Amino acid sequence: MLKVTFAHMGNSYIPFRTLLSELGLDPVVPPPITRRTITLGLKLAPEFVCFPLKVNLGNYVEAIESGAECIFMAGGVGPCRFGYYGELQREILHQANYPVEFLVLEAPKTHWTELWDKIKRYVPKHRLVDLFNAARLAWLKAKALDDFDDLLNRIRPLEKWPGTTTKVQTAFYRALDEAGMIRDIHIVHQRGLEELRAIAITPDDSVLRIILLGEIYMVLEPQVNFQIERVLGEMGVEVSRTIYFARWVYETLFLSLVKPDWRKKYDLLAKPYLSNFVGGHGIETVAYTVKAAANNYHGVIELAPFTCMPEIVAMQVLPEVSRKLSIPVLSVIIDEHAAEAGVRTRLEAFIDLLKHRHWKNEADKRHFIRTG
Amino acid sequence: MKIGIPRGLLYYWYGHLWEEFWQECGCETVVSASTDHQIMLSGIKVALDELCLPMKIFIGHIKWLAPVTDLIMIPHLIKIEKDAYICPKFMGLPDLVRHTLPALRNQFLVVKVGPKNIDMIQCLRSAASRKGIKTPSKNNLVDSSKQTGNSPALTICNTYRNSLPGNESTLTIGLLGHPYCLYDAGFNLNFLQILTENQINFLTPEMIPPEFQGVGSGKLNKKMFWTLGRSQLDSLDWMLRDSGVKVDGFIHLTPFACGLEAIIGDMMERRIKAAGKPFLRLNLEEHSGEAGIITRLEAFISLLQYRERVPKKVPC
Ligand code: SF4
Ligand code: SF4
Repeated sequence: MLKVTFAHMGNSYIPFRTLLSELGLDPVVPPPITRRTITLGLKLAPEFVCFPLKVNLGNYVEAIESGAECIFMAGGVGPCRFGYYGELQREILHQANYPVEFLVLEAPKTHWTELWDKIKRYVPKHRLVDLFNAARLAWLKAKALDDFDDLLNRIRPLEKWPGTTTKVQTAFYRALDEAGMIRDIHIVHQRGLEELRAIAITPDDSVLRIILLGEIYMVLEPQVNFQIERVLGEMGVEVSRTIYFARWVYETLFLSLVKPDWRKKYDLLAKPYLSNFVGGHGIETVAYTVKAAANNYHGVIELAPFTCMPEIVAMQVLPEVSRKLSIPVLSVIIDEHAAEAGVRTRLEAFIDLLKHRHWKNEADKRHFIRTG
Repeated sequence: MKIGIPRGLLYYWYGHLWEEFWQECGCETVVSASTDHQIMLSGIKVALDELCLPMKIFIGHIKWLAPVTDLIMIPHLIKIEKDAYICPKFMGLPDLVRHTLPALRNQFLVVKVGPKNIDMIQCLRSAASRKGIKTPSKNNLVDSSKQTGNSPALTICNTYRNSLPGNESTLTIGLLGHPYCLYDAGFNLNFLQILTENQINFLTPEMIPPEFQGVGSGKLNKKMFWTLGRSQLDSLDWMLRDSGVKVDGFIHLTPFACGLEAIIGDMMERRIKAAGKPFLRLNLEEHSGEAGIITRLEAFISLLQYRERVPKKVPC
């Protein structure tokens, strides 16, 4: 069986593992990202390339060490750098003499038949039913993860005993990873949600609510964003992510085929501030900041890798959104030199600011009611 | 009406065309002064730290033009050829400048090129009519300035190269980089001047003969979707393969933290090394001191001269 690997991005290894093994391949999930992974990637990658690409390379090297022979990844046609990741990574790994094949899946829009030929060549079970079944299992897992994480982020800030939610999360991820049949997935999914709901909480209706957005990899991968969701949750902050893996897959693979103008709603929201598509999640970052203000969130945190082009454009316009709509925004740039302590201090300062604002607003409101 | 054209970004490809166009419309054109410390600083001061230096310089040029012109042309170049973008920052340029210089908003004359209509002249015309500027019904301008004689880039190249002594034995260096790195003397610390003073001949991507256009980038496994990547890879291929030019070594001038050059530069470096040619990359940043650049350049030149004198070692 062909040993296939892929790069980590948050919990997406769970659906990917299912997808590949259902297709008759032998998935090699890279070891979890550690300092070593990052160092390995840094050694191979050019200095100013996006941080995600560097970590990806580290994943590949570690996966090759555990026997992977082939790398699966997605392609793209710009304008952002992601579309060229595959080419560059292949050149780099081959130059460094890693014996590995690359299968870059390009969007079917550009070459339908090529894509099909490629899949046929590498994938043993490539009848349409096989593809469909594999995709369905993977999709159910991805969906379960999204649901679970969404609820989890609402429970964590309220948990009575610090760490309970994280424990439930770890167990849920493991159970879901092991579930093999549709029925098992459903059971694990439901049980996971029930366990979350059963966690002892201290209700608090003045909890701070913030939106976490930015470049997809930085938002989804806890090992590079210093576990920002957990850290914020444990500070008592309710975090809403704007990017969820299953939804992202649904939008980029499915919606863009059947409803090409699905991005319109983002374009409209962002328009007064950013009226041009700039690749990546640039428009979404601005659009969701506008939306966060409209929905009375207390603040927005933007995550971006160093030299990330779309996010830097967004970052340049966010101060104005923040000023006009009066929503505090914190932009955090992360790369291999970012230190956990530094990021933590900035988060704490930001949360303090939000608390202060919130408290003051509430006081003003009370004052208004009394006098008005 | 006085129209200002910032001497930054792709001015070095299209500047003459833009000037001619606005003059034909009966406007007066002002091109901002050559980049100097003042211009650079005034851009750096207002822009976000993380923005790349060429964008900051561009903003500096806008600020230079603001008091002396009625309108300032912002070339919003989304695409200038099919299937290729320039850079996400070019795509968001109007938004970038609007938010960095909010006071000048009404002075901007945005010329949008792409994503659908990539004909520069037509785009200029519609930008003009949006601002109520009359365009002559017919004009003789052709949208071909990119690599023909009529670009500031080639004018600059020719000035320097004409001042070179014609003797055959000088070294030739292949220069790679974005036009706004190679030709902006204020940004690259007079790099071309230094080369000429050292009697070194150079080639730049803009000098590529037509028959080599599209060849180098066509050899890639995957079509490159950035114009500035294609033009550099084409030129590299030309400089390596054309028997008419003899390139002794390559220098890549890159802006610090440019997103695209990180990828393109790495691919070019690999190809240059595979061809056994010396390679030097110079990162241009706000604080790059002239001394540092000159030392590295001199070391590189002596390496090339050494290689010239000592024939390649025969493997034993
Ligand atoms: S969005 Fe940012 S991190 Fe992702 S490919 Fe583009 S530049 Fe790199
Ligand atoms: S190509 Fe590089 S230097 Fe030019 S605008 Fe984009 S990021 Fe900046």
